[in-house]
Amino acid sequence: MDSGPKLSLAKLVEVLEIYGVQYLVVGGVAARAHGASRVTEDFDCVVQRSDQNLDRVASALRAMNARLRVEGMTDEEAKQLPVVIDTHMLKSARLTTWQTDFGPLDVLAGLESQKVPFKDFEFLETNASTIQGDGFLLRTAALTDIIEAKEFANRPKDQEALPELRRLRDAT
Amino acid sequence: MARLQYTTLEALAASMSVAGSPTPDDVSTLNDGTKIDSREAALKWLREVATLRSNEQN
Repeated sequence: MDSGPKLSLAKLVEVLEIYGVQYLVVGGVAARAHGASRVTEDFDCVVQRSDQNLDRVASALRAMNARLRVEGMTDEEAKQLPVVIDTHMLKSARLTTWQTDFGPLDVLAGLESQKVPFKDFEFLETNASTIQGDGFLLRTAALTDIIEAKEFANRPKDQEALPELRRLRDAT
Repeated sequence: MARLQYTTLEALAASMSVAGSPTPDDVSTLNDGTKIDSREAALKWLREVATLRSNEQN
């Protein structure tokens, strides 16, 4: 798969903030923010699923020239797909994977786990972490929720990441 | 509130420069579990969404 532009985290976060998107960072960036070293480069976020917020998500995606990330298609080929990014499209999927001008971005409706079948934004927000840097805040899902999602997904990359994430959780 | 060990978003992003790219199993997934793992699947999904959109507008 043609990887397209590399992750530009500051610009991605800036656009999401400009459009007032309600989201929580999960996945690789969240794991890195929690101290993990084994991560993938894409920016995964769980978004609040009201029509109003999905409309904000759609606007932010359009502003970033988002195109679908599809296995077997190059970034250039994906740009030719007849995609209309709107609430209809976002509501039809639990996960949409995008390539943007600021790097890969995955938009999730929630996280799956064994204990709780589906954790949506509202569920995750109750345990979310606020991680502060200089001049910015990142709202991420709790490390426990990230671990439970990886345990459920149980892909090879999740199995590789889990021991470190558990050590980080147990150290806090 | 946790303090980020990387002081800026740029530093956090730079720390991920050695991170792996998204893997082929990171694919869009519809509410019914259908995975959009090919051009054909993507086109079928987009047609269905276009029909939904059209029905709502009419």
